[in-house]
Amino acid sequence: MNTILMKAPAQRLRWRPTALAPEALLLLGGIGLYLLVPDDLGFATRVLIGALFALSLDLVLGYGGIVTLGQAALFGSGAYAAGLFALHLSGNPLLGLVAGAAAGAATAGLTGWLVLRSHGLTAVMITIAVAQVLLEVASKWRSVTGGDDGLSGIAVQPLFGRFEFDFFGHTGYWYALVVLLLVFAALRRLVAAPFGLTLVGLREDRVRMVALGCRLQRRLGTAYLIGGAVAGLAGALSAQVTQVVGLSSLSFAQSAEALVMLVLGGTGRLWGAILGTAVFMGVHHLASSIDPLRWMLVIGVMLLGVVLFMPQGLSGAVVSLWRRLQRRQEAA
Amino acid sequence: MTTTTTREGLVVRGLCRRFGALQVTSNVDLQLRPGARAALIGPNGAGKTTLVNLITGALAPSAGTVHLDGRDITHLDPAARARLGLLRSFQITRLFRTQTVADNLRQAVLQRGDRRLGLWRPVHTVPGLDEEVERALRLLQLHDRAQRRVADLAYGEQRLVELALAVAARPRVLLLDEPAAGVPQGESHVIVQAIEALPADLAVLLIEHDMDLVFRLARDITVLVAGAVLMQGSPDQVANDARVRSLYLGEHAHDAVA
Amino acid sequence: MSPLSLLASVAVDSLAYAMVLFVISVGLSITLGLMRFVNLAHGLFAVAGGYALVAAMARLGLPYEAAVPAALAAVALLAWPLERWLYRRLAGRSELDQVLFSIALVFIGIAGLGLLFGNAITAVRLPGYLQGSVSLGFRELPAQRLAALGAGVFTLVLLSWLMQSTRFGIELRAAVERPQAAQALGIRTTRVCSLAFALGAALAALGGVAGAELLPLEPHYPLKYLVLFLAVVAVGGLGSHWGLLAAALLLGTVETAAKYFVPGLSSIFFFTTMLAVLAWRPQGLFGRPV
Repeated sequence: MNTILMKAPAQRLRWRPTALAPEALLLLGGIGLYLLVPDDLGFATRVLIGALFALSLDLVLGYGGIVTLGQAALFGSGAYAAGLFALHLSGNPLLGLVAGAAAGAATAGLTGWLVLRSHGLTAVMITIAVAQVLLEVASKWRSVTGGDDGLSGIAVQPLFGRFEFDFFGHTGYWYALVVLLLVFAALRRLVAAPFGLTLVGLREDRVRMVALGCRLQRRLGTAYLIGGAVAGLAGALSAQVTQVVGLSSLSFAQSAEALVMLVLGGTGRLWGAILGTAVFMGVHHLASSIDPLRWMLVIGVMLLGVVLFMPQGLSGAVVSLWRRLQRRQEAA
Repeated sequence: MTTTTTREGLVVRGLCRRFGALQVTSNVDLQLRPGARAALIGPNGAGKTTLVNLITGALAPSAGTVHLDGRDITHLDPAARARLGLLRSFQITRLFRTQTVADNLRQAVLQRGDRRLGLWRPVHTVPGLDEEVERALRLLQLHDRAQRRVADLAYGEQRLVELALAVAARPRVLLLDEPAAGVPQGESHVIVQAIEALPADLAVLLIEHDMDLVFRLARDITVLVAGAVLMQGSPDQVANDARVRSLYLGEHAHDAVA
Repeated sequence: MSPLSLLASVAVDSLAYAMVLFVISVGLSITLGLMRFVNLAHGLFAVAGGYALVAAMARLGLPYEAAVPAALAAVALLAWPLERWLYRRLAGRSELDQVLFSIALVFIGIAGLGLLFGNAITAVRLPGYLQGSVSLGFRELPAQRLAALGAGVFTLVLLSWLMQSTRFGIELRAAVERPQAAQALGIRTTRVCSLAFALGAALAALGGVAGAELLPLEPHYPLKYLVLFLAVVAVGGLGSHWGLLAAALLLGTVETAAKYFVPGLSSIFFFTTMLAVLAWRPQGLFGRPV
């Protein structure tokens, strides 16, 4: 049995307790947020849902390298699916989440191959177009989706029969936090698995990977599918917690905002998505009185700044700083 | 399609490639049996890279066939050919720079046709994976640099990793595109030793400009000129051929044959 | 209305709409083919042309005939430094970075336009001869739409002449087909890029001006119609501008006809057609197979 590649015994022991450090940090952050804004749990929950959505985008874009401006198609699919599920089939919240994830995965499965067959501008445009088509369909199909008014009054049964989704949003918040934690942990495992390593390889040098025999379309398709499921899950959460679903869940603005949050936080690290969402939505919350146009200007300038000066995002800056500190420690 | 794969190795017959009216590859025949140590030489612009691309599937032929162990792979894409055991290394290093040497090799092992990609169990728990990586590391004496990031390695070391990557994938046929290119004079012997240490049943085609390397490593040389095969033969035959001498070898022939 | 006049009516409206899409999208197609740059901000040049026209007439007091060329020139002058200082900087970067950059530009542009001109639809004050309708026999056609048709024809003629008969056009075609060979031949591709970019922006502005009736001027214009321009370019493929015209005609006709017969579903028809074409030929109708 080899010993070179397996870490030294001392290192392996040290590895175990810190393996769940990111999840623990996220939990602490979630608790902290709860304590920070106890009167505005609606906002806090939206941050968690936004982070989950940004995670889905990080998998597709940060790890899969698929540039999409239409992730809202999958979010909205999940939202409408969960909403309709609760209104017409069953109020069980967990089943509703499954419905949402399944809808997101289905939409991704049906449209992913179209996106992956194309390159560059065409591929990006297809992602935008798919979301737009779904938006049009939702807008015109009033009998099912409520059209421009959307779905409302989505009443969800108490979680496990005990925890009611009340007006104050306590249940909703912890519900969303647990879902976020579980998905984050699952995605971290996915990324550490052979599949994840393959995605990282594809992101870095597609030609090389193909020359090694990588089944490109299959791998990217799987990433897109899983990303769709997570986005659908986020949409379902949104439907259940806010109890409404609107056309905005399918909008370009929804896709673009998620992209900005992800890029701000830094792609390809998973925790960057969460960081970016927290910062972005936090700033927006503080500047809530700003009019939409000025906010658009702020987003534009911020995005421009990140692209030109900080392409690795906030998480990239943190990592660079950490590495620099480590090198200084080693030198000392 | 043959159900039993015969150990013919790589068989290229009548391979042609046209770009409009320009014939870049003309009727090339080539065979690499298991254990072959062959070289492809020719002046710049002879079409060596095009031929490599045709063999690996990066370029589709205008005519001709490519067979691997009896199986027709003429219309398969590069990834499919790679999964069947036909691999190449790149002249300009293409590695996963932000990853460690070990992780680079893991990529090669994972993409082989006989593996399914897991979604859940971490990479280092995949049975047999690390053994395969170990094997490639040992073959190229890279085990002391296994945990280092490729970006932090010297170029000569990166060329070794490039070679290790191809080896880790356990190919049946390996096309080495100028493996010593860009490596400082004093370090090229490491590459040479590595190539000499390659598995005996592997078929190797070396594309090279460095005549010392070619005469040292190859038992069979194909000379390509203007997209067509000028001659094929042993190093002696090639070195002594008048056409080859006048065209290409110049004074190297004296050093090699003497 | 008799079936024949109905068809003729659809045809005329489709043609006008297609021409507007064509004129605006040409610049995007050139930028993509030449610089391989995924520029999602292209619609900004179109709407900027319209707004520049309005500003030239309202704030500078220029008559329509002078304001139009002034607006086109203004947009070209705006595009030049943008390309020189920003787009060129990002030319080698990843597709994602280019998308992000152009989205950022769009956001900033929309905000700027909104703050300068207000959120509502801004109408262009047309001169008398463009205000009324022209009688075509089977119906009345707004004179504006006729002008849009004219702009399309003008663009076609201009491009054909440029590409075939001028040094710039020949160099442009060479740079699109084989960039390295073009540079080796001594063609200054950066200069060609800058000129082509400015030309594309000016043409977009022309489309924005000529199409202001069909695509009304409002701050969110670049995002609202982004998919339209992208779709025309994608469906046309990176071949000649004739391919682009064909794509504009196809998509324009489908959407206009749908507006006549199944009004609520016109967008869905547009997108379905586009997705169907791309499913069949990912490189577009006239693009080179990848």
